[in-house]
This record gives sequence, C-alpha cells and structure tokens, in this order.
Amino acid sequence: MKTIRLFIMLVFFSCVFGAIDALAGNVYGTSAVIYDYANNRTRGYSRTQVDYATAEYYTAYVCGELYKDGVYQVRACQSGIITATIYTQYTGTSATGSVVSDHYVDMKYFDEEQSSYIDYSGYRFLPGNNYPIDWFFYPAEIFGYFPVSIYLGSTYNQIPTKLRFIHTPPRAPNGIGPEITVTNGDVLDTAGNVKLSNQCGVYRNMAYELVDQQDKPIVVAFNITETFADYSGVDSVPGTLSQSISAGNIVGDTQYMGRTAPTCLGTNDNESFTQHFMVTLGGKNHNLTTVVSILRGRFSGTYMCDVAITTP
Amino acid sequence: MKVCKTWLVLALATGLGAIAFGQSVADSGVVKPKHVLERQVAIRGLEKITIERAFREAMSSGNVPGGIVLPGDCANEDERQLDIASTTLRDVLDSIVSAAPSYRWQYRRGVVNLIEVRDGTALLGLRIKRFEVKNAKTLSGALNDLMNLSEVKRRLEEVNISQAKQEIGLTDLRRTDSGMDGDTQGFSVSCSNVTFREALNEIVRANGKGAWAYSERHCNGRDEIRINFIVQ
Repeated sequence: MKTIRLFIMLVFFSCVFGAIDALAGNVYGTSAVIYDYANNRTRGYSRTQVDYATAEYYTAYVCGELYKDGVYQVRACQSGIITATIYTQYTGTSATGSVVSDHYVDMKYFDEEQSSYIDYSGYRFLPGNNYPIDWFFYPAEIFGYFPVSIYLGSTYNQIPTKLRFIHTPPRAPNGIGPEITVTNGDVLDTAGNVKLSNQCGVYRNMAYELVDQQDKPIVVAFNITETFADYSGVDSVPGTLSQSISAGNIVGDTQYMGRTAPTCLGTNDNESFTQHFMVTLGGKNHNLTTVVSILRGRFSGTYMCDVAITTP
Repeated sequence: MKVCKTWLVLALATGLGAIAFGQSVADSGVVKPKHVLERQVAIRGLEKITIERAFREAMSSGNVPGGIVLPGDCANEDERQLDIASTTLRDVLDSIVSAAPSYRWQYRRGVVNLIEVRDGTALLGLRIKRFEVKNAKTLSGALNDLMNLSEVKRRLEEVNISQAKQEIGLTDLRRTDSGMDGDTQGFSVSCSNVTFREALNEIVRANGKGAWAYSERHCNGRDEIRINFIVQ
C-alpha cells in the first residue's frame, strides 16, 4: 500500500507556485451578469472552481439560472475538471439581469470494506471516519466507486438595491448625526472635512451603506448619483450630483441649508424635498428604491434639519 | 494494490499552473494607455438627455476631470437627442456640440471644458493673481478657498451678483468605526496669473477627477452664480 503525506504535497506546491496559494479543500464560486450592448445580449456567468489538490478527488459542477427583472429565463449546467463554467443568456440589455449559481463537487470515493477513502478536504466523511492522525490518504483506483454530488452552496450577482444607515461615529452614529447649527462657522462632512466655511445655517451628516437584493453590503467601487424631487421652499431644487465611491467604502452625505455669513437664513427660509439615488455599476444604471425625505432651514426662527428614509 | 495518482495530479497541476502563470504575465503586459479623449464612456438614454447630464455621465464614467459652463436660462434645460458615432469621449463631446451648436469643447492639460459660447460670464474671465491650496481634502474645500480670494469677492460686488448656495453632495467615506479621513491624502494647487476658469480646472486636475458646473442666473429678481461639482 502506497501512502503519501499531504504536507509533502503542500510543500511541493509552495515551491512550484511561489506566491500562488495551494490550499487543499477550497472551492471558489462565481456569479456575474454581463451586458453585451454590441450584441444586445444579457449573459449570466456561473463558475465553480476547485483547487488543484481537491481536483484529484472531485469534479467541479455548476448550474446557472438566469433571471430578467426577477423573472426566470433559463437554467443550464456544466461539469469540468478543476473548473466548470456555464453561460446563460437572453436577448436584450435594458432589463436588470440576475443569475443564481448552484455549486457542486462530484465526489468519487471507494470502499474496500476494511478501510475507506478519507475525504481529506472535509466536504463529507464516510460514516465512522475521521481525519487520521498522520493524515494518510488513499487515492481511489480499483475498488468500488460511489459517486456523490455534493451541493456546496449558491452564489449570485449583486444588484445594487438600496441604501441603509450605517453606524459611523462620531459624525453619524447609527448612520445619522446630530443637527448642527452654525452662525459663522464651518460645515463639515461626515468624514470631518471642511466643505464650506463662514456659514450661517443648519446641517446634519449621514452615512449610508449600499446593499444588494439580499441586504448584503456591496464592497466594489461604484458611482452614485443623487437627484431631487418634490421640492418646496425659498431656493430652488438642488442639482444632480455624482460621486464615485471607492471599493470597500460607504456613502457620506451632508444636508445643509444656510447662507454665507454675515448673512443668515430669514425667519422662515426653509425647504423640503425628496432625495433619490441611482448607482452605476459595471456600465449599468440601477435606480435604488431608497427615498430620503429632507426638511431643512429655519421654521419660525427655529433651525431644523430633519432627514428620514421614508422608503427603504 | 492501490496506485497513487498524486504525482500525476502534481504534474498536471504544474502544467496548468504554468499556463495560468503565463496567462497572468500576458495580461499584465505593458499597454500604452489610451489618450483621455479616446477613453470609452458610458451614457444612457441618448434619445432624451440634457447637455449637462450627458457631460456629467461622460466625465463620471470616463473618470476625466472637467468643467461645464451652463447657460443661465431660468427654465429647465431642454433635453436633446445625441447621435453618437462611438462611445469614446471625443465622439460624445462632438455629438454634444453637434446637437447644441451654442457649445464648444476644449481639452487642455488633461481637463475637458464644455462651454456655452454665448455665456457672458461675470467671473470666469477674472484674472487671479495667485491661488494656492495646500492639502485640500475635498473639491468643495478648495473652491471655498478660491471664492474667498479678495479679487473674487471684489468682482462679485462690482457686478452685483451673489454666489448661490453650493451643493455639498455625497462623499466617498471610509468604512471604519470613525469614518474619519485623517490619513487620506489631499491635493494641493498652486498657480498664478490664471483666469477663474483656469483655477477651477487646476482644482479638478490636482484632484485627478471631478467636474465643475458654472452658471449665472438672473431669475426671480435674483442675480446669482452657481458653482457645483457635479462629479466628485
């Protein structure tokens, strides 16, 4: 009986590939949607990839399911050595595409009655088996094969859906900071940077996190554009502004109404409006559901800046 | 007898690894960057779009610093149809000018300007003796310093026009417990004998991105200039 110690193999991998990780037992799942404007196609991309050590005993298998504005379109599956990839598609690019990828590894193990193949990657053990102390393992060859398809989990492409408050002290605890009145001072943004100086007015800082259709944070870089509607007040509707957000970062906002000192707001200089957002990610625009209602200015002499998410 | 496949796997893995490594080298080869005007930009809704929005989306998606001088009309800007040959920044700018002949565009030292020709600016041509900003953290902060120059204030008084409220906009905020940008690298501007417009261009150039929008309005009994960063 020939045996090989796992750690020897790992050392060998390290030598060959240098900085490339050679982790046994890792499987990588990927989901993406590609808008092919030139060919008017929306394509779903699903991939399951096992690492090299895992590939000896497992075949990658993936199924991709493509949706158009949330409506099912097509499902297809594919197996492969080390990597299994399947594309799905439908015609058109105007709708929002989403893909769900189901990731599997097809395992083949053997049973020679006295001993059984050890699933060293940890997906599943045969009944009564554990990792041996010295990590011997026995590749399958001539004994009985028992194919098992193991569902590992699913991934999906993230669709920017809404903003939610995120705790960012000291300027935006729980996502929304205190109301600050200045008579001849600086207006600071959520990060504490001076945005305007010599101001007389009222403001409030906020911090938002972009989340997807399953309320999970989106941590890649994106562009966000704010637009305004339902305006009522003494000035005019704020203009549309765009901001690029770096990978891993969140969205800060500062709602301010005031004048440059020594001029201050009149006793009833105020305004109200709604704030809407659009996110551009991967060349595709996504209108967020989030609507923020804002009331700011001076009301019968009292400074006020109210900010509330009225539609999540 | 059990035959170990491990060495076969190692050999296969080595081969595939070499292929993968070779691929990554090919991918990371030195590629001469495209000229700014040849960058691909993304604009949606070409059948109905305002010039300001087309410019904003082009600057934002192309990550190109720029500025636009908008007309001081009191009514909302008309939407137009753009006929764009391709999605390079140059073609988008050409199509804007074709759809709105009162505009012209220019590119200078990395900054694109789209200017409304008939605009009579109270401020853009003003000569600035010296403008210096050190380690500015935001575009608004740098603009603040520019507006506080004595010659700018004097000019506004001379032409009897005030600055409209500046929109602060959203910010790119670090995901930390504090969100503070204490160690964020700022940008500095130092220029002399430039026009106000050139100073605005210097701000976005030094920041590496961003687009300003300037307009003068005489509406509802108010005489105002508006300067906002429509792309930050």
